[in-house]
Amino acid sequence: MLFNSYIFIFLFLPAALLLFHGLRHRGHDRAAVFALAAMSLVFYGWWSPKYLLLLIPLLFINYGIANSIATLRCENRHHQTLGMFLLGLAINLTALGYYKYANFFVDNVNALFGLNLYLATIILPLGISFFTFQKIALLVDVYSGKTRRLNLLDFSLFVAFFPQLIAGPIVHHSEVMPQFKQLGRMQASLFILGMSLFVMGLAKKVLLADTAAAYATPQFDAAASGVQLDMIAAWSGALSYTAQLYFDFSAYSDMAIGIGLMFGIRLPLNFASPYKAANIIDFWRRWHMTLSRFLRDYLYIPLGGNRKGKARRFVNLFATMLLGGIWHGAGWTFVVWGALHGGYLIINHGWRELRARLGLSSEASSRFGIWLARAITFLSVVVAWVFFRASDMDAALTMLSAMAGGNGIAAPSALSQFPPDLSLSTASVDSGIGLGVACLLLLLAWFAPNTQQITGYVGPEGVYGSGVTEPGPTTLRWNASWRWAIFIGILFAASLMLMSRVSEFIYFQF
Amino acid sequence: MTISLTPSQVKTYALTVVLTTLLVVASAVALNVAVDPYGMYRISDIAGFNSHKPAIYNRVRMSKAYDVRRIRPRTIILGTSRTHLGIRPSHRAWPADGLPVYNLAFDGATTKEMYYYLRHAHAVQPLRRVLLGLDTYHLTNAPGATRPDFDAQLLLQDRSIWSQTWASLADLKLLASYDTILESIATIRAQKQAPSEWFARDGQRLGEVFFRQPWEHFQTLGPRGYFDEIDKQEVGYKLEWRIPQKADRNAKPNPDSQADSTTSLGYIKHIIEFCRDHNIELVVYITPSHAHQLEISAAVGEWPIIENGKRALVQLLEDDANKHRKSPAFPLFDFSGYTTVTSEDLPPSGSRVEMGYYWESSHFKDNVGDMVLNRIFSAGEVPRGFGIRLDSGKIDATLLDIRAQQKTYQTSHPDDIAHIQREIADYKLTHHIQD
Repeated sequence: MLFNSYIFIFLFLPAALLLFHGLRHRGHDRAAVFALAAMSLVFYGWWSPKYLLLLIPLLFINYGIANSIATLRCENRHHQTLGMFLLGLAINLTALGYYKYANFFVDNVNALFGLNLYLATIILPLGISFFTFQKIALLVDVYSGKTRRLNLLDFSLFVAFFPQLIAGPIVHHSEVMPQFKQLGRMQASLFILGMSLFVMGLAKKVLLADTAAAYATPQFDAAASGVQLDMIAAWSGALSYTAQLYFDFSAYSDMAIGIGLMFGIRLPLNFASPYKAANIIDFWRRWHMTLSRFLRDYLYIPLGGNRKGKARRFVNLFATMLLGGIWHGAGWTFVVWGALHGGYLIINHGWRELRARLGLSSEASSRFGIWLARAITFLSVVVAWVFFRASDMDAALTMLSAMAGGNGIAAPSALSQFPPDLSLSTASVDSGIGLGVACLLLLLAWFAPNTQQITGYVGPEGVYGSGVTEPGPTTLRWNASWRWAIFIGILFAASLMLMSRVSEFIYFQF
Repeated sequence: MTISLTPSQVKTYALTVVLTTLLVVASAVALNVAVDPYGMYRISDIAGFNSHKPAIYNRVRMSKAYDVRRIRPRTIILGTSRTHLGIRPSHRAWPADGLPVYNLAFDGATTKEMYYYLRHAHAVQPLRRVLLGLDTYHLTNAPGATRPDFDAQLLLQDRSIWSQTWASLADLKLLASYDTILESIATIRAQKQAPSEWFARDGQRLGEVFFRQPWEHFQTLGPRGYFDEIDKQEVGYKLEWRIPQKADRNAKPNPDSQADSTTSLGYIKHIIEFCRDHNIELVVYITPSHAHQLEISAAVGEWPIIENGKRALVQLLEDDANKHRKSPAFPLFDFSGYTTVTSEDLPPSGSRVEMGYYWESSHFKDNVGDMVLNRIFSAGEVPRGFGIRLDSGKIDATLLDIRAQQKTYQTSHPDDIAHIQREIADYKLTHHIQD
């Protein structure tokens, strides 16, 4: 069930809300938590009930292991604690490795050694990358003594809570599990804030991201099938995708946070206008923030972080980003994407070092300097997104060479007037319009305040503390006025109306 | 972070959001019901405002689902574009006990789609009779499929309240859609230059209107040029699956794209069983495509597949007849042999002379459709050998007979055969197809 589907908006969400708040109002707080966990499993099983056969056993296994670790730790049985911890780690990583990387591994072994090993295509269970990370973080914290024994019900809801199950935010247990105990005292005003955030996210997805996709997908498809794109077409594709990915993913996070609030649960912020970043270090503090902090605390720092000298620090940084890349998907394009960002971060840290040695501040402070830095950062990100999006390395390189002008420039085709209803339109999208649309959307990403600036929402309390919101224009600040209510109503109606595309198909020769 | 609001403020806000949403959506629905761009209800078709509905022409499957609900036919004609173009619901041979007749065939119809539309029509109004037009490619064990503009949600499954509710929700979704608003506006603006309509109210596609539109290839290339173009296309359809593909290592598996476990023939079986269970008289016919279509199939080595398909279809009908000996068997007429109709000579290359029976090799004109109906309902003249009633007793002899006719055609039409061979060789060369 997608958040932007009628079945979710009109059936699942109202049913889950009624059940949850109905129980909560009658004082059955634990039953409400149970109902929410159960509804989350329904949500997950909706795609394919088979997925539950992985999620539920992993849930119980992790619960058992986490509590064993906690018990063994109290009894000071260090070896057994370590053993149990490693077992937990191995189980989670094996599941992830099998479902996500086995096919990729076999394909590459075949290609490398000229073998012909066969492995049936393994269907990737949704969200496995996300919930695996959440559980690993929890096991690490139990092992290091930061977290004590768990309650099965709270743990189940933490793992399965449906707004964040499929695509994040990657919630840290310290942020939500304490909230499960305080659901009885929920503020009613959180509900309308959640509703408004959900609608803003939905509109971002349906109005903005889907529009950008219409101009990105055809260009990348063309590149994948070997078409030599001209420069404008290639840039329109790359920039449209840059806009699409941001609005799509941040829309998802807004919707997740909004739904969470409707249940009285605060989820962490995940996006903070990433394209406003003036350097790559800053970019990773703004893009998919919960992934960045996971990678930092559970990969980069355990690898040694910056405590083992500069050379080692750069190696750690690079390795972290490489693994972060392949976490996104099993494919060489993701490896290259991660490597590029690893490289960017090393350059960024090196540059800071250089400026420090020259006695300069770590970042540019002039207006021109800041915009130049933003532009360089943005372009580096766009180049990396080409690898992220392209179906394979060939397609990515074709796209980049076209962007560099390798195939020359062609005038965007004017809107051709076909005779009504009858031509079998094979023409791809107009690259001129695509470029225009992408630029408009990117202007929004650069200059418009983000959702937390508009709503004043900050994340939950937890080990990370609630997020920091950059100040935004006060005139656009959300409040419970009728003006905002009408605006949100119109936005909701427009999104609902755009959610149902009427299929049309023209062919006459069968 | 705390927001301090009174409960009444919270309520007012939530209520305002909901009411605004409802108001905007309701206005859109009202506009779309009034203009009715897809002809869903035809409550008021006003000349100069909305009577010409161009949006229908790209959405024949959708539009026919609503036609059926409105017209409530007692006889439906199922099939592909051949039947869509060639079979007239207005022919006088249709028995009076099954009126009105509606042509529910559409382009590229699969047997799965036909089965769904059959159930839909029967849920709207219990059917008396079904004419099922099959092309030879339907008679295979390929998995059942649907085309991208097929939408099962628009169709009733049965007369249950669930099915009705589900379909009403699908209506609402259509009416509240932004695309439909755009089509409503386009419809209002398209009234001035309304061209003649090829989509008749009884569901037939009128070839005489359709192919004579100035931009149609039938006009621009001339009848013979168009015939050659369709031959070339048909060769492509037959061979495209053999084009070598490069394996895609990076392709992400899609959990939704699982093949249907029921085959194309399996859906024909469903259709037969459905008709039997609901006392609907079923007549099956194999369409009379031009001999060139048959020759292309033969030249790419598909003749045994066609023969096996016909055998399988005969077997399905035989099984049904054996189970229901008290009722008459459902008849099958095969029009796909070599007869004076299907072997009509092509006009000379470069000429603009038109054929008497065909638009091109795939689509027959409705004078041929009339002969099909004459034969089925014994209602008028039919050329000798056109439409053979197939059953298990006759199938082997008939197939042998058609093979003999094929030999005769090949000897008497060497230029046609050479042309087809050339097209096939060209296609294989351009697309690197190995024999």
